[in-house]
Amino acid sequence: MAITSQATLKSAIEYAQKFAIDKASATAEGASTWHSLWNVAGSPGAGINPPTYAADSALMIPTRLTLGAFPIQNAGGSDSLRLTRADFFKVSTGSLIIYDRLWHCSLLVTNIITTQTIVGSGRPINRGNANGKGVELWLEVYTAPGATGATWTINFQDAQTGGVSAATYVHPANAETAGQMMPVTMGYGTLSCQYPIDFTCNISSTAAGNIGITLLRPIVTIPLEYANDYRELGWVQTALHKIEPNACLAMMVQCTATSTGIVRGEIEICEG
Amino acid sequence: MGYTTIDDYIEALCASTAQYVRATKVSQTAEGAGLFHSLWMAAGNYPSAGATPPAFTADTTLLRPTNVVLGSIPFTNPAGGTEARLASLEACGVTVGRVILYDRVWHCSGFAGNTASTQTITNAVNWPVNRGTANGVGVEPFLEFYGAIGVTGSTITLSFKDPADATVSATYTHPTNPESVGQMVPMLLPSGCTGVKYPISITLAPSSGTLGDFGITLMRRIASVPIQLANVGDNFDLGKLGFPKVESSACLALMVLCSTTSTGFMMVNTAICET
Repeated sequence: MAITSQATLKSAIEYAQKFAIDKASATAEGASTWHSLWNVAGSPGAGINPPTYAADSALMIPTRLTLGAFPIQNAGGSDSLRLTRADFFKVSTGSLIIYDRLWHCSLLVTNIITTQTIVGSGRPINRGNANGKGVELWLEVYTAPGATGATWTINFQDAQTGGVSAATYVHPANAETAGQMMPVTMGYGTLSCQYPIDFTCNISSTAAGNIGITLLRPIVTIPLEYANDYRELGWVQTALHKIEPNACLAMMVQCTATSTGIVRGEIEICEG
Repeated sequence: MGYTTIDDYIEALCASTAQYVRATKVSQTAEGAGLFHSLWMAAGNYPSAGATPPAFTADTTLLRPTNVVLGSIPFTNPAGGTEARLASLEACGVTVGRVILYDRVWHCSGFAGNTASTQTITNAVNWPVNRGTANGVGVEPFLEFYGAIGVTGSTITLSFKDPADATVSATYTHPTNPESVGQMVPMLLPSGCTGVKYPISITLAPSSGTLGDFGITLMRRIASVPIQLANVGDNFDLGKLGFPKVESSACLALMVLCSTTSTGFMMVNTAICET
């Protein structure tokens, strides 16, 4: 039943899906960096590394059924899922970001300067606006690359402008930490990111590493300003943010230190 | 339709017309604590960097940016008979400060810092503010720096039409060190003045000594959210925001009230719904 009033919202919350979250602490790069909880043990259980960029795989588009995702149930009929509550505790301060993991791959290496073409480019994102409007492009480290500074360029399809755009990330002269996520600023005039096309390093980092591309849409950011304290966002704070059918809900931490700290909490998702 | 009850608010949040955008902006070199810095031309996602506004001599409709101008946060106009309202604003950055979301209702560039002659906006009367109250009530004038001007102290005078169609002025004391590129300087309105309908001219006394490039930006603030701790954002909901209206065609943009000499990488989530 559509949520149109306090009464229908109350009823929807009464039957909300509830998920307990418990993620172990992970070693992070440090303050002002982002760290993925995708492969971190806990609840939901750790995911696995995404498919290689070099093989076309339907698994490049993770869903609610993918190992590592919150096991949400899709809404019935024409209803939508809505985030009604996010209640989190964290051992260290920082911010927790819940997002829909729309597309991912791994096994890009950083010790060659030839272009690595993504075979799964024929699989554009397929949730929300399928043209990729609002989709963010991130790099995710599965194995640390080398410590030689370089510029990494990702070409991607911008379906809103109809062209190919380029985004660059400056890899510093120290290796990123496994699990680190790096936001990539997309080029001037970019309006969307539908799928990545290729990845090129201008200089070898001297170690292969294992880098992936993750496309995502953010859903909510939970500020955790005090260590060992809870922060709760109710339905007013979450603005009843819509969750797309089959969403692969995942989490990352914006860090204040070299560990993410244990993350515990609950989320509630209602239907209407 | 409007907004009269909590039910209306809930219905609007759950309607298919709700819009969610996260703007990401890279850090900018700022002038320092307590000063404003524009993110209009900062690289980022949703939006990417905007372009330098038209010159004050351009006499163009582009003096009034809208939601389709590159650099504005993506925003789809509400359907006829409804209003867009900001339901949630989250900001998280790596540097402490305050993020301000505003509607950029008018802008220009191209004023020179090395002349004491009055620089008059071409046919300014043709381009009054046209969003919100069209007579400019509540509109704030800022100077925005696209190229640094000189090191000679100067009084910069902005002449403008106020909502009552009187020609009035506001002044800014340019110090003996140049403003940073991207810095925004508020022009305080004279006593009794309630806004700006359109700007008329800029005059420096004396010349700052260097050409530079600065412009006038007229804005209506919509909301702001503090980043009180680095890497720990904040979330402002309906109650804290006051459910402010977002005008149709609004050119949504960001600026930062800085705590230091950089703005810091930041992510700003907006939820806008129709009522």
